[in-house]
Parts: sequence; C-alpha cells; structure tokens
Amino acid sequence: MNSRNLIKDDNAVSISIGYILMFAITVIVISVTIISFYSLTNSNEKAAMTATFRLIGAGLSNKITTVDTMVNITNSYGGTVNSLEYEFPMSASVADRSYTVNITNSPYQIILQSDNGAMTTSSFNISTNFTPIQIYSGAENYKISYNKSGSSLNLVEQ
Amino acid sequence: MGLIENRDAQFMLLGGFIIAIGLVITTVILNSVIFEGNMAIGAGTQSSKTEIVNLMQITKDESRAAYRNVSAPGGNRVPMISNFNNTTRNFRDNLSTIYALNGEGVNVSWNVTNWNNGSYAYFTDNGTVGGSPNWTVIQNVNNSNITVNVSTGGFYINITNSTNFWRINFTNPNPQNLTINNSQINKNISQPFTVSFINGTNATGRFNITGYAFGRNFTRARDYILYANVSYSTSRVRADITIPISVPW
Repeated sequence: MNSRNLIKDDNAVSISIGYILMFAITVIVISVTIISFYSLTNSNEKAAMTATFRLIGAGLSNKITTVDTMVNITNSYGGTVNSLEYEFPMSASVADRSYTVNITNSPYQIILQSDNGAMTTSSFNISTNFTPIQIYSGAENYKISYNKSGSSLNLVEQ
Repeated sequence: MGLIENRDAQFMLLGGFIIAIGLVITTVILNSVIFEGNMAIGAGTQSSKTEIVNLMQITKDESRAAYRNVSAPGGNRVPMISNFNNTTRNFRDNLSTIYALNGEGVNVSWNVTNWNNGSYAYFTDNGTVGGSPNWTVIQNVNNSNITVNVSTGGFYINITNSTNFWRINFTNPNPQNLTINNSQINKNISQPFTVSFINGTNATGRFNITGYAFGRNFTRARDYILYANVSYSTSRVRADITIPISVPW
C-alpha cells in the first residue's frame, strides 16, 4: 500500500478494537504517571522523614539536657533531687512508618532510623550519667526520670 | 461529526484523565500536610527549668526574710519558730495559689529541726558538713566587725590583703566566742582585705560579719541550716527537691 492509498484509506480498526486500544493506552498512561509520582513521593518521603527525625532528635536532646540542667541547678544550690520526671509524647510513626530511637552514652547520641533508610544522629552533652536505651516508636508516651540512688537519668516507655 | 454529537467516549476518557491526575496531586499535597503535622508535633517542647530556679530562689529568699523577721538575739526559740511557721505558711499558700492560676502545682514545706534543736551550722561554704571547708566569705573589705560563736570544734579565720595575712584562731582551747572590731583588724592588716574561713568542717557555730565592701554596706551571717522541700508539678514535669537554706543570710 502506497502513501496515497494510506491517506485515503477509510478502513480502520473496528469500534470494539478502538475502545480496547483506547482503554489500554489510558491504563498505560495512568500507570506510568502514577509510577513516576510514586518514585518522586518515595524520595520526598525519605527526605521529609530525615527532616522530621532531625526535629525529633533535637527535641529529645533538648528534653534530656533540660532535666540534666534541673539536676545541676539543684546541686548548685546544695540541694538534693528526690525525684524528677519529665513526660513527653513522641510520634508513633513518621510518614506512616515506625522507627527506632537509640540513645547511647558513649558518646551521648540519639540515633533515629527507619526501615526505608532514613536516619539521623543528634548529639547532646550532659553532666549526669545517662543509661543507654533503644526504644521503638509505638509507645508514643515516654518519661525521662532521675534516679537518685544512681545519680543517673533514665528514659522509659509509659 | 461535531464534538457534541460524538459518541466515542472522548469525554469519558478526558474525565478519567482529569480524575487520575487530580488524585495524584491530592495525594502529594496530603502527604506534605501530614509531614508538616509531624514536624509541628516534634517541635513542641516545654521547659520548666526556669520555674524550678525561680522556686528555689524565692523559697530561699522568703525563708531568710521570715527568719530575720521573727528571730531576735536572746529570744525564746519556741515562739520564734511558731512565728516562722506562720509566716512561711502564708507564703506557701500564696505561692500555691499563684502557680495554680498558671496550671502548675507547687507545695513547699520546711524542716526546722536544726533550729528547734539548737544545732548550729558548720563553718563551711554552704553550712553543711559536706561543704567546702576553706572558702572566701567576702573580698575587698574596707571596714568590718566580725562576731563568731563557736559551738563545737575549732577553725580559723584568715584576713588577708595583697601582701599580708592575719590568722584568727578559734581552735580549742582558745576563746571560742570572739568579736573582732574594725580597729583590731586595722592594727594587724591594712585595707582592703579579704575574709576567709579555714577548716570549716571542724566546727559548728554562728557568725555575723558586717562592714563596707565594694562601695556599700554588707552583712554575712549564719545561724542554722534549715531545709525546704519544694514539690513542683505540671502536666509534663514532676519534681521533688530538697534545698538547704542558711539563715539569716
């Protein structure tokens, strides 16, 4: 068939085949679009989780140093801390993903990480000893308490 | 054939595309909103350390003021303690009310056992046996009168200037109750001078040092160590603290 005939040819696919083709093309286009957005969202999710982890780590670091400061201030007055508790909430999930918080005392660091690879490390500096702990985000409510007998800070789930 | 009369589902396809793209955009925007919400939650902190500092300082100041107001040399101890308790009770009630208006709970109580038993403080920096034994009471003094009543044990007071020092011995069996006036000090050492306590953990008793330093009058005095118990609670923080308070200053 030459090109002249092709232009003048009125024989195309049937209406049924036309619908099927149109449907297939639509599905393919939508799928490609969704997959593109999904990969874009996925990279955004990791970046956003990292940013959120950084905020959570800074907040937790602030709380621990606040309790440490309270203990030090009381000591500077020659006083004794009989008990000290600081309760705080922490998001159960970030971007619908759970995460772990690992607090070490040598050096003092808060490591937050999720299974999608998002991870941050926040450092803090305190003079009171801190008992290292690894916690999971599911508990939501936590407490930093001062142990008078051991002169140390502990973080526990509630 | 016109577009309106066309029956080949163009509008259906177009509508499908629009809905699909709309869903994707909505999902992305909603995702961002959720992240922002998480960030806002993480950023929320509550600091109570300034409140604790304020509480300890105001309790200390008010306790000393109450002691100075009710105590008189040679007075009967029992009515003085009763007056002290009444004064501090009033302070405690007002403090609890003020903090309650801010949603915070505060309770202060005092332990006046040392005063009740006549157990004077150690001559250490904070008045307790664990305090620093050698410490400077005041520097750059031009005129001063020093009264010391040693109850038990013995210690020294060093009066020093830039070139010399004079040691006053309160160690047994020397006289334990001494008042050293300014002229006595001037005979031994030139102004300005520094007053320091040495071996404060060895002795208990009272002291009262008045004079002129840094361009103004001063008083340094201590009779007893009282203990105040401060309880502080908010929705997040609970603290129970005991602080020693040297009185009258």
